[in-house]
Order: sequence, then C-alpha cells, then structure tokens
Amino acid sequence: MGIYLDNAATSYPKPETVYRAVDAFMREIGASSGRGAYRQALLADKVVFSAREALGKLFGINDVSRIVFTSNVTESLNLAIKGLLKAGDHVITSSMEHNAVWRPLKRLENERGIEITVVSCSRDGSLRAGDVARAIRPNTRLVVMTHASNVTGTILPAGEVGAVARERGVAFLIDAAQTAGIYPIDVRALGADLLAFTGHKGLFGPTGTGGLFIREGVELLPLKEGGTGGDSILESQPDHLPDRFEAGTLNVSGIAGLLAGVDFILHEGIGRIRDREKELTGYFLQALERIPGIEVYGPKDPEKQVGVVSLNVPGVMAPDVARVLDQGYGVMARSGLHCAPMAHRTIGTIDRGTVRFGIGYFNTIKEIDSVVQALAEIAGKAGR
Amino acid sequence: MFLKDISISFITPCSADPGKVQLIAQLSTEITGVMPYLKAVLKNATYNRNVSSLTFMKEFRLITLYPRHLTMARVLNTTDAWQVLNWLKDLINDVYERRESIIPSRF
Repeated sequence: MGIYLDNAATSYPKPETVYRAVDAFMREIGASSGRGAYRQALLADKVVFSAREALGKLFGINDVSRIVFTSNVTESLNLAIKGLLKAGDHVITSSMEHNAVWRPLKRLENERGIEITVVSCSRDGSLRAGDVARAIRPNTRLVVMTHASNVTGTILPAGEVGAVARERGVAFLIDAAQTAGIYPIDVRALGADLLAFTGHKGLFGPTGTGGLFIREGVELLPLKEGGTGGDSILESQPDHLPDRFEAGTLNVSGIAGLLAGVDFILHEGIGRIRDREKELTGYFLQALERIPGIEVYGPKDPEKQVGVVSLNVPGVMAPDVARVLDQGYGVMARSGLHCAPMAHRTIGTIDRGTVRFGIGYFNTIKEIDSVVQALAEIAGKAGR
Repeated sequence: MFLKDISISFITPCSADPGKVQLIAQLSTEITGVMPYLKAVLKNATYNRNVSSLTFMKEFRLITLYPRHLTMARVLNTTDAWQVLNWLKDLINDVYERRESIIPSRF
C-alpha cells in the first residue's frame, strides 16, 4: 500500500465502522427506504433518518427534513442552481470555483439568460466579502461560492459573505465539498440558505452520497421527478421535503456508510479533526520551504487553508511529477486542472496545472516526510 | 430516561390517499400513569380514562396515545413521522420528569 494523498478527491481509507456499516446494511437489511411497511423496510427508513439527524447535528440544522440526499455535491449544486435561478436573474460567484458550479451557471446563461458576475480572488485564492457586496444588483438572486478551494485549499470568508447576502436579501449557496467534515460548519452562523455537500470526502462516506440543505422559505424546482414512496396518486412531485427532491430509490447502503462516517466525526470532534489536518498541512508547508525551487500556491498558512496543497516543480511538468511520485515512490497525488480552470487562471497556472496533495485525517507525519523526500529528489534531478 | 424508544411497527407510506400516511408505533415503556399529566400540558388533548387513550393534534397530524402504542394519521412522509416521534418521546420524558410540578388533568 502506497501513500494516499488524494483526499481532496475522495477520502481513503474510511473509518473501519464505515466499511462495517455498508456491509451490515447490505447483508442484514438490504431493503429500500420509504416504500414498504415490513420490518426491514422500517429499519432502512431509520438508517436514512438517523443519517439526516447526524448531519443536522454536524451542520447545526434543527429541521432535518430540510436535508435532501443526492448522489454527490455536483448534483446538489445543480439542484440548487437550476432549481432557483430564472430568466433575468443575476448571480455572483468567485474566481476559484469548481466546474460543478461554473458549468451549471454557464448553461443557464445560455439557456435562461441569467447574468453572471465573477468576483476576482487574489493569487492565493482569497476573497474579500466587500467585493461581493459591491457586485450585488437589484436583480441579484444568488451568491454561490466554494467554502474552500479544491486547488489551493484557501478558505473563503463564507460567514462574512453570508452576512452580506442576508442583509441584501440575496440567497447564499455554499459549496462545502472541501470543508464538510473537516472544518466547523453551522448553517445559521454562516448565513447559508443552501449548503451543498458530498458524502465521500471529509464526511468519510462511500462514493455516491451527498446532500443539500435547503433553508425553510427557499423555493426550488426539483431537478428530477419520480417515485417518492408516498403521495403516489399525485401527478407531480409533493410539496413537502425531503420527498420533493428525492425522487427514485435512495442509495441507502451508501447512506448507511455515510451515517457511520458522520458518527465517527461527531465522536472524534470536528475541532480535533481540523487541528490534525492543520498540523499535517503546516508540517508539509514548512518542509516544502526547504526544497529549492518548489512553487507552492495558496495562502501557505494552515490557518487559512484546508489540507489541500498545490505545487509545481520547476522544469518538470505536473503530470510527470505525479507519475514519478506514483511509480517511483508509491505516492498518490493528482495533477492537472482539478476541474477548476477558473481557479488556475486566478493563481496563474492555467497553462500547466499543478500537482495537488489532499491531506486527510489518517495521514501521518512519516508519510509527509516520505513525500517531501520524494519531491526533493525529483526537484534535485530536474535542477541538474 | 423514562421512555427509551418509540419504534414504528406499521406504516402506509405509499397509500392511494395523498397526505394521509398512517402509522402505528410501539412504546418501550407503559405510559398510562403519565397520560393525565400529558393531558394537562397538551391543551387540545382529549383523555379517555376508560380505555386509557389520549388523542391530540400536532399541527395537522392526529395522534392517539395508548398505554404501549400509538397511532398517527395524516403524516407527510417517513421523515416527518420520525421527527414527530422524536418530539413526542422528548415531550413524554419531559412531562414525566416534571410531573410533580404539573397538576394532572383526569378529564
């Protein structure tokens, strides 16, 4: 087994309880939720409801019927953006966004004639809430931004932006792909009207899990229609949540794993998880400073970023660095544009991408030392 | 904790009647003794001493408590059902804890 440093893509390994929960659900329960009335169907219902409760506890959400399960954060963002915006609406976003935000916006720009303002971030990925405030117009319907960049790890000031949006009567959507389960999130404190999260990264769930919190009073059109297990006589989706946005059979085995992942986080404590990732990230950043020539992007400060570190080795293309790390040292990292070309334009790497290291809770100092040693050798050879 | 668990034993989520999900749930503890106190707290409740039942509305939902089980009608969906059952469990435990400061209502 090599050194896994692609936790920004998906977390690995998962807590042992996650594997056991998925296996136990599939072997011992196995039924669909919200459909049948027999004992195992009711157990499946309880698993799904318990997952909503655990997520509510983690994100400060009292009414857990406002948490809608999706297959990933991309679906959550599509539901929020396409469900909310109408022709003539104006939307504000940042220049550090992932394509999961940018592509739905561009589609609506083409199809519905929405207007988009991109607030420029600094080269380290940071954003000023005042710039968002200045971009608000009378027809601004939504501010959507990442909570932390998937390229540089930079934490954006969601609480400040949320306060601005709330004061100006604009809906606020947070993409928490890189922060859910890793960084403290309270939807009330952040002023979030919509919080999109994925289950398989910081929340330690299986792939194919995610969700969207929809504040009461925020009206969205469903992204899909179909069976909900109730109100079957109706020819349209029911009005009440979560059924309105959960057409089709839920990924209950995945949600069982997600429940175990969130329970693990609640047991460990989000503060402890954040501290551990800060420790590892700070250690990595300090060690990188000692390698001549390495270009590191982002704030280079563990207080201002999550466990995502992007870099380049001068003289070596990013894909080649990732390939040598994999084949020569057993280090799993990702190179390229990370589905976020806007972010790479912002930090000045659109022409070459970066090598990205996604640090996770289960990484160790020893592993970081090995990666630093490998990078030093690659940089050393390139410099000869 | 007085009442540890309320578990759904029957539900009709996919009925022909929209907005009319009904359920039966089992109580882990016998609650006859708490009913007069619940009646005092739930202003819209009807208490039937002869059959030991307490019927009341929770917004649009109709709930009837019996000594070891309950029925609930007009539930939105299973999520709604679990949320209301959690609320009810907390209510029963709270009333039980405070029973010495509550004047029971037997009618």
